[in-house]
Amino acid sequence: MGYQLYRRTDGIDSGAGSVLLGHYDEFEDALTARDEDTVRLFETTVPGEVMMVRHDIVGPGASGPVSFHPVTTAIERRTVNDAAEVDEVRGWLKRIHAFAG
Amino acid sequence: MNDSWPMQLAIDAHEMDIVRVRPKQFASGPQVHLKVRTGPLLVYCLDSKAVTSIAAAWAQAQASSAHLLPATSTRPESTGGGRRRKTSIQGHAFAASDVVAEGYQRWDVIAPTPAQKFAIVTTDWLTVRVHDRSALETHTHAWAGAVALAARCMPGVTTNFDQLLRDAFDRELAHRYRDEPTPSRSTGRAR
Repeated sequence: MGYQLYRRTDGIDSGAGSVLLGHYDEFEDALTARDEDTVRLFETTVPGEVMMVRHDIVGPGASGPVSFHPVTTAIERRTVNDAAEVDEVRGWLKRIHAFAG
Repeated sequence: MNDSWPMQLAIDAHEMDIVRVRPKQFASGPQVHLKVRTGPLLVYCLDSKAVTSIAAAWAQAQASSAHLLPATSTRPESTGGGRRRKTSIQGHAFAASDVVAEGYQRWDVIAPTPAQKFAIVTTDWLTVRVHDRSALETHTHAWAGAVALAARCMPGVTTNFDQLLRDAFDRELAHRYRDEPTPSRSTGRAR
């Protein structure tokens, strides 16, 4: 059955929406794709901005075959067009999600 | 040597634990810091951004993970269990980790997954693996208190924990009930 990765946009006030980013056989692959999407969004931020991004990985889990697995990240951008900062964020996400399991 | 040395501290949180939130003023100046103790972890917050960003992470964890965690969990037995039990009977309790937080703390919350039965709450280089709702309550309670205290003794606090929690639940419920994807429809029963 596999997992579907959704990026969520905004909240109740501004109207909730979803973007389906892909289908994955394994949860870990969906989580990796989720982190890459987060990094892509972070690249577009400006210094001082706090980016909050929410994804759901939907698939088999504790609530049955259509379980929601939310992942939420908030990161403040510190520099302009600094590839090192983006790489550091990518490394941080990879490092902290290694703690799963 | 210019290579950075990434470090990540991870702790496991089980059941209820001690919570203590105190202001601290150093002799060197008028600035007030907060000491937030949750179980074996002691976080020194140097400014209000550190307090509110960490509190926002725990508000998000409450909204997205509480319903997926068991009420209680059992701690894994340590290999030196006999000695450890004897020490705890004597009543000594020390913080195992001291963490200093200054400025906005980036955070990440991942709810329990098929392979991982705990929630993971990360604030910068500190990761807490939350194994049950009691542990989640412990941390949430601590950071709710920290925001309330920060509002009284630190400049720049523009929110409160109720607001952080409402925002987190708004995000959660908007997607869980209003815009629910329906991948199961393709596998629904044939008519």
